[in-house]
Amino acid sequence: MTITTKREGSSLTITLAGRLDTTTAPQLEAELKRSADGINLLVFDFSALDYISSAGLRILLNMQKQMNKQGTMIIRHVNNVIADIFDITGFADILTIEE
Amino acid sequence: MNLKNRMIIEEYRAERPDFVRLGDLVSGMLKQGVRSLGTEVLAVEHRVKEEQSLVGKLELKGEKYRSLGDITDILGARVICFFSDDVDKVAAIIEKMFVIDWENSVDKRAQLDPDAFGYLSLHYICSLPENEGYPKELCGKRFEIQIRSTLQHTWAAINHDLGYKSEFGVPRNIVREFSRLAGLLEIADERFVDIRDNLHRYGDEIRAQIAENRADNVPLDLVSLKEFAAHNKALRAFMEEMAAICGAEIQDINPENYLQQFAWLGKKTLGDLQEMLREDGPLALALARYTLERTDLDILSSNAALRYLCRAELINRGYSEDKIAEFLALTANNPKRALRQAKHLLDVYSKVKGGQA
Repeated sequence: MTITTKREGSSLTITLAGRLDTTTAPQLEAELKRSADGINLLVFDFSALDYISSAGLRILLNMQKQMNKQGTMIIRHVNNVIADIFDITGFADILTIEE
Repeated sequence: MNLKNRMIIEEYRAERPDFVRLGDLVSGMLKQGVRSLGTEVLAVEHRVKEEQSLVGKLELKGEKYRSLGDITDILGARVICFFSDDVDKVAAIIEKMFVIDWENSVDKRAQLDPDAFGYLSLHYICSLPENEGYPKELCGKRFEIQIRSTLQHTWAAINHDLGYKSEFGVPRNIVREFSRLAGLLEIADERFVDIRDNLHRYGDEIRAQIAENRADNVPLDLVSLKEFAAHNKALRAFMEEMAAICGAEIQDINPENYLQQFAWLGKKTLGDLQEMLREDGPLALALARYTLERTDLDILSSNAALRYLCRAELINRGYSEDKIAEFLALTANNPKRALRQAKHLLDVYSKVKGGQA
């Protein structure tokens, strides 16, 4: 999985490409630890992300809880596979998903 | 500027970096202290006085200060609470964490006469405790912490913004206007505390009714739905059974999104949800089993139970594909996706009905 980050002031956009699963999740976790402090808008761009596993969901959940305290988190350009995973696990209810 | 004040400015310039470090440390301690209370606050702020501001202070009141150490607000921190009764709770934490200079600390709330209204805030002059591992060079420095409610802060900020740092010289009618507003905001502060306490009491009542199985007529609202999702035994058992399908852990999340969906389905009371659980539970579990067994997911939100119950309801009530899509569009942010999900739901149902679950 490749991770591209773009910081603009207190906004951070993270673009993921590939699969967010058990093997690649620690990579994202480390990047978020490095970059997410002090931001008030976190945007995930999933336009090139093919799949997300439970490990990825856990990271999103933790980040959502953190961003609920410090600002806003948005997930953009989710494909149908990932949208369905968010849906069937019930996590679509707490994530802000935009086209 | 006289020699003494120039020396104070030089002292400030030399010690400013220490005050910046102290500010970050104090801010972190305050945030941790507030977190330990389990209460939310609007803000924890701090600032190190700018040199220009110190020059202005020395020009106005320089005769009061012999050295930089006499000025207690080079570093100022502020905790702004949502509720006025949280001020004393935060104050108690501050008294535990820092050494308080009681002689110079002021409770402005207690200073006002009973028939007067005005600036309300609690001002502590503090320093770091010695012998607790804090950097020695930071321990001797005093700083100010103000604690106030959001409304008290709003009043003070506007008052300050209009240039009125004290009442002296302020036109009498303006003083009266500000006093009246301060009184109004004091009452509003009390009402906010009442609203918060009433909400807690309502939640406690609902929880008791749910535990005693007498909640059927309780109207569906954000509080009752949260309590139902957290404490209704039948729903919790249903969640556990669903999670056991894939050995998933359940993450409790806020069910507020489902208020709109339940309203669409015509559910008005907790009794309606109980009935839904009885009538739609078996199909909901079958839909969940068919879906989840085909994934490797091992984490579900507590709302997944409500999700499958709603879908089972849609099927059991014979809603058309279009109406199901209309329901799903309440939460899918894309009408095409809602239609696709509606088709998929009916497809899953036909397989479940055909015994392919």
